[in-house]
Amino acid sequence: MNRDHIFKEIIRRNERLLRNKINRTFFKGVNTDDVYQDLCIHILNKIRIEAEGSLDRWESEAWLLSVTGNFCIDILRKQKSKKKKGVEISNYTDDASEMDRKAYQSGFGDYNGDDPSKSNVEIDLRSCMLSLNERDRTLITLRYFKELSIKDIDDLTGLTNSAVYIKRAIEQLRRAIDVDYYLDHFDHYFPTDFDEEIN
Amino acid sequence: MENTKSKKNSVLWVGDAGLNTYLNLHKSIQAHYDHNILLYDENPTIEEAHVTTLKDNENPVAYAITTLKQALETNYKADEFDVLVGSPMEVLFTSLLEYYTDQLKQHHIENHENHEKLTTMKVFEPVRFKKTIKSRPEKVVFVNSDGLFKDLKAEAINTIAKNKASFTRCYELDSDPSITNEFFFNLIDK
Repeated sequence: MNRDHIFKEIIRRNERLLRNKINRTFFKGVNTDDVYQDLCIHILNKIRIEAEGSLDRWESEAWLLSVTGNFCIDILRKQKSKKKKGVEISNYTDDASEMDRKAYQSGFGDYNGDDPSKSNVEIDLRSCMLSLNERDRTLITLRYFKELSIKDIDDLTGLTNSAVYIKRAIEQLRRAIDVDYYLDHFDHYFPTDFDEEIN
Repeated sequence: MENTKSKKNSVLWVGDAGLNTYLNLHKSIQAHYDHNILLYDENPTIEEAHVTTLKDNENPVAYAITTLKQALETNYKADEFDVLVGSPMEVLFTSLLEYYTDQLKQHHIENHENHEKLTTMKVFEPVRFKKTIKSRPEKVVFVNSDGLFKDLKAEAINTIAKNKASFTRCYELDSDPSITNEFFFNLIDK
């Protein structure tokens, strides 16, 4: 059957439910009609590419609410991120990442963007640290958690090129996480511009 | 000498499936019918058909059977149509079917009540014959589609089973344009 046809029927049946979810998530400063329209486009694209075997889940109210919730969380996160950089949000059409769904499945209320130590993001980074070898974990800890300079780390560990090892370890962490969105947070908390310190 | 009907059959195309079926109808077959289209929230411009939309800024009707039936009763005159076409998966079409079914039930109830009142009246009392049912289509065409979700499919089957008794003739067609074109070609002059 034409999936667009199915999409239209599902959206009509659940319009009030989805609009209520959006209205409960945003309080001010956002045109909820625009969010709803973009959400519809998002859902339509998802339905079009959905595998045949898992298409049935789009009938479920719980699934629609989950998709809507993730969509709204993405918008809110981008708003906070862009506001820090002084850029206004102009669109809401990016998809939520797998890490995003895993981290925020319990609901938006658990997230605190101002205190990363309380967010699920930090927990996931710590588990990714276990994918590094002991030397790299030590170097990451000394550099980013003990905040030692490259020179101090070299003196402490007896290495002459700890900056190179640290950069490689960070690359490995990026591959382990594999979440584009978190690169913004990642680079903010784990910068690798050691050139001034080395020189 | 061909025996053709003098008056064209009027068709009510309901919802997305009805509209889609109408748009896929060959022009030469379209010319043999009077077309009316009933939609929920879209308002396409179609010159050869009379289009009615239930929901607009003044009447924000919710997409549910109860509210749609109320909107049909108050804002939409169920004129006499010969053929009703739609998908039993769509709430709009289901609401319209239930609207007609409710009319038929109400007619039977009133008829039964009047029958008891009329038992003492004479056989040829004119009032016996004055009660007539409101207009409803004789034929209903259920346009079925493949790839439905399980719940929607079950719902469509229930809709057909519940409402088909209210109409003289019921047809179940696949949405394939070649099948619907053939059906409506054969329906001309019937």
